[in-house]
Amino acid sequence: MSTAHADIAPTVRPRLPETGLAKGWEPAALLAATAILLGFGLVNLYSASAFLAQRQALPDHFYLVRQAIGGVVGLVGLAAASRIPYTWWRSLAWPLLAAVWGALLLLVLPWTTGIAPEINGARRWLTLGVTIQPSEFAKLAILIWTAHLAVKKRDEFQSLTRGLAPFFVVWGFLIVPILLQPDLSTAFMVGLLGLLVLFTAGARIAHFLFMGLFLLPVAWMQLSRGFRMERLRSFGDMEGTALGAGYQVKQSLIALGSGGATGVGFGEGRQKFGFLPEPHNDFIFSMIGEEWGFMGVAGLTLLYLVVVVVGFRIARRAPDLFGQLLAMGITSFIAIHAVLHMSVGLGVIPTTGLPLPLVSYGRSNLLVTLVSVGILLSIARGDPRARRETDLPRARVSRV
Amino acid sequence: MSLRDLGRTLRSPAFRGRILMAGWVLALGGLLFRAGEVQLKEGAVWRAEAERQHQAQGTLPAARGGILDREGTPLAMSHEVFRVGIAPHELLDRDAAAALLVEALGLAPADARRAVSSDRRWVQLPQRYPPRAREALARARGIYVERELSRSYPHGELGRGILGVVIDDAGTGGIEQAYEDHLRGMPGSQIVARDSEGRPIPGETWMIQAPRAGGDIVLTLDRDLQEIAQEALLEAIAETGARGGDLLVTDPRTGEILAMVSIQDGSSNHLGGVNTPYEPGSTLKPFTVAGLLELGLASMADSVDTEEGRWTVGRRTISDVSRVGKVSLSHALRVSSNVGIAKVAGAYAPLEQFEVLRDFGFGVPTGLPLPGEASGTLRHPRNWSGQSAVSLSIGYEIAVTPLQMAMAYGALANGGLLMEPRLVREVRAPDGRVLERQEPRVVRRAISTSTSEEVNRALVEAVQDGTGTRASLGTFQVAGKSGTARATGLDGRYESGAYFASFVGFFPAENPQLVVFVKLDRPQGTYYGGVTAAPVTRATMEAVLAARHPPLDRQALASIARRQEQELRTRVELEAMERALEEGGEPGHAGAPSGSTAPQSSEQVGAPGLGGAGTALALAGDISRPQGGVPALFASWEARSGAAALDPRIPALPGSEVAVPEVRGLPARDVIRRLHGLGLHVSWEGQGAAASTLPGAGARVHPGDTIRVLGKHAAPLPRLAPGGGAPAGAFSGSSAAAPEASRSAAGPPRVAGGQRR
Repeated sequence: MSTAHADIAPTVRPRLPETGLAKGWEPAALLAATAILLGFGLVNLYSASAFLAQRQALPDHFYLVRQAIGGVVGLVGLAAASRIPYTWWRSLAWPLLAAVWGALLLLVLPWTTGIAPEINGARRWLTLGVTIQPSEFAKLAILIWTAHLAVKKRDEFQSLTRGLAPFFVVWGFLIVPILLQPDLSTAFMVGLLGLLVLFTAGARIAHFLFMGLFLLPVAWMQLSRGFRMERLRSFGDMEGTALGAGYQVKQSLIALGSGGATGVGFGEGRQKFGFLPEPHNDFIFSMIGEEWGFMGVAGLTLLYLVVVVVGFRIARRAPDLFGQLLAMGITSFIAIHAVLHMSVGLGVIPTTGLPLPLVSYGRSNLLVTLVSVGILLSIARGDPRARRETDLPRARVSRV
Repeated sequence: MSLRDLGRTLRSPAFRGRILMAGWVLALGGLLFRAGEVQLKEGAVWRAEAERQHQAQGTLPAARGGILDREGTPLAMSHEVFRVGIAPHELLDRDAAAALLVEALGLAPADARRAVSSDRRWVQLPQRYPPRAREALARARGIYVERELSRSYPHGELGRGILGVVIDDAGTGGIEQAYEDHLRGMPGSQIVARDSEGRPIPGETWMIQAPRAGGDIVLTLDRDLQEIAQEALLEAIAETGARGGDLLVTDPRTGEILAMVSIQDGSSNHLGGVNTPYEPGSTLKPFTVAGLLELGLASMADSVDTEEGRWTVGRRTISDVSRVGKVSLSHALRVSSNVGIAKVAGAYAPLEQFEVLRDFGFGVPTGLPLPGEASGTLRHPRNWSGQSAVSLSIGYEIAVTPLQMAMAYGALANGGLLMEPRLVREVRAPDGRVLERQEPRVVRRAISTSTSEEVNRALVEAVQDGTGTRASLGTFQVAGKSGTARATGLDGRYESGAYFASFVGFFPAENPQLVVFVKLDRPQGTYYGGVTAAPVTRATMEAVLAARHPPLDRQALASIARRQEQELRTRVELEAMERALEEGGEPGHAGAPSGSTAPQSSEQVGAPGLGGAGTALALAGDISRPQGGVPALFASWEARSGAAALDPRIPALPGSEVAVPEVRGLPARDVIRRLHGLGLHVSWEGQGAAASTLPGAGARVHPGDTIRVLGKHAAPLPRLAPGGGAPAGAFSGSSAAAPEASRSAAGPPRVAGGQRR
């Protein structure tokens, strides 16, 4: 072992086999959990969206077919990503970031409404033949870029200005256009993902607290704008305004609660008939809870637990620090969506529109999630070149 | 391990990763715990909440039972209608939807377009549509059809007062209200799954209980008679300028109500016949006399001195208009002498008088199953004033309902039995089974058969040559009595110049089959019951005889007619001979009714005189001098109607000639309607469609004249001679009429002229 290696010893276990290949049950378990979530998601998506589609004068399988196409594309992406050495993504860290930033700019520039129309008061989608939600890709881009830079700047984390400030500046370029769409929860999510990677990379807790103080007024400014404020305020006010956010939480709890232990049965749910807002998307967990009961909720939770545990196991066995950070970032990316989506459904946090990974309708999110799982699998497979091409030379360079 | 090492370890990705993973595991575990709380612990609460908002307990309307007439003709029925709602944003093709609405519902294109292109989520069309609309719209997406039951009355306003209406699914008034529980049936219930906008989710409906249809009610009413009665009454109201009136046709043998119309201020949506008592006046006199005979206090032959038409009893003077001097009780009744009747009634003990009237059903509700029946007023003797006995004897200080009066006359007609009025014949189950058949019920025997026969004879005479000649039919003897009483206003005081004119008759006089009650409220001009109400009775009876399926015993009528024909022929021959001897045989007057001038005059006579002041004040607890008679009025009446009619040179009603319409080939009902519409009366001869009229089509006649309509098939019955100036009757038609008969009429074009005006 070289001294350079010793510098970053805590991250790479000496006992790891030289090949870096992490064989074992983890990839299979991850694939199985992903496949089950995807299949279960599609089935429930049909149940949730058939009525909605009909009310919109669309065929009942409209959303199902679109999501399934997204799923197929996503699976192709997953297969590809699992075969591409994950280190390839590191080389793409900056270009990916730039591409996403460009796409996000298209959403906020005033003369691009032709390809970025305003839908429901926000410009979140690019319509280029297929509809793309750039902010979903921003999530993966920030994970890769932050992991990349964290590896690079690891030694300077002790300094706020030299170590962390560059991160905030670059994140800001991504987050500001997302805030302007406006899409508060995605902007919040993108920032949070970056912070999580920094956290795993070993940033100081004190810095996080400082940053939190800095973000408070910004958050407040955003919150005080429009409907989001009302959503937050009516949170906890269950009997409040009939059509306000309290109503949504109440409807969600009615769905979950009436599901009981075993649910009302697949397709038998009632709350999707206009009671749950976006039953195929923001509140699909509640609908699943209604139709499948606690049984279904527990199964779903278990599947995400499998993803979390397997994801962190993969991270621990990652051949290098970048792989480790990226694996933890991707796992947290899936976990945080699952946790926050379920928390909204259970009325634990204010209503925000976050998808349930692999289940909610939304092809951009599905594609990004499946590609992310593919990257996880790639990390699990390990890359013999990983250490050679990245860690060792980098470590050496950093010492110079 | 140094502190530095510890810090490094705490910041190591491996350690941070463990913390993060633990965080996610804890978060997911916590959420699972929270889900367990919501789903397992609070599950029942949320489920109840869910049911509350998902399921609407819908009621399934039960088909309301029908109301049928005695022949089974529906008078009120329920049928399915559909309401149409549109969810515009669910429509795939709005133009096609609009076209469908135009085609299937007959919507105006502009309205259809507005309905399908509305921004609202739900557009409910206001109209109700027939079942075929549902078939046409069943497959259309975004268009929803909801079933409803609607009540309809096939004959419009006919009998509406009796039938009542259905308002907000509840019977209101009449039979609809009285038999609400039976007609309504039992609405079913269903649970309908609803979306957040309250619309039913297709295919998500659970029937809890099927609706049970209501059963039918079969009335004793006869649809045709009801229409005849309504038209006759409307015509009379138009002719006399009355404010309203009542007309009842009942069967005295069973107490069945065959027709009942009450019109007030142009509306027939009334039950005045059962809920509005009035002071009957002279029509009550037969009961006074019947009681006297029954109790042996007087006999018809007893003579009474009518004292030159004025009799002062206590501080009050009763007057007759005409002076008939010393007459028999029978004659006094026939000419409706107030003085005569009141004097003889003095034989009563107060309680006897009270009980006689009570036995005829006055002062007691008849028990008819209609809401709001009035009992009328018959005071007990302990509440009488000094004048009460006298007032009561001639029909004052008593309030009766038209139905009570019809039932009491029924008792005179059927040999003394007071029948319970029947309006409902059968109560049927929804499947048509008869649940309850209401049989005729005798309330009590009011008088003996022999007494009733004696009274009836006087009533026949009253029609033949008393105050009710205008009710006489050529065909059958009619018994009856007219009445004219001062009308009371809302405050209970008599209105000056306002009268109730009434006539109650039954026919045939022998074994009567119909009682016809007619009352006119405040007729203008001539107001005497014998002049205004009696012709309505006759018109009604004629129309009944002309009706296609009158609820009459034709065979009994035929045998009576045959016998009457013999009697009349003998009488007419005798009269003609007498007159020929007396006057040198002027044929034009040979048949003029000897009694149609003088006795008629006696009718009106008393009623207004006494009613005018006596009772009004008696009721008010005061006594004042009665008004004098009404000779001026009477004279004008006689000049206009009686005398004029007798003289063929004087037109009955100047300047109101009408042409006889062409009715050849039309069915009887249409002919009668058309002729009635022109104010003409119809005498139907023979059977089948109309073959010709007498006078023929185009001839100028006067309203009120009777037109003889000859049916295609001659009736087998011999023609009756017109007794008392009556027209040829319903069963005539052959040329068997005696030559005297044709001579007695005032000439063919004016067959009935003498009768009416």
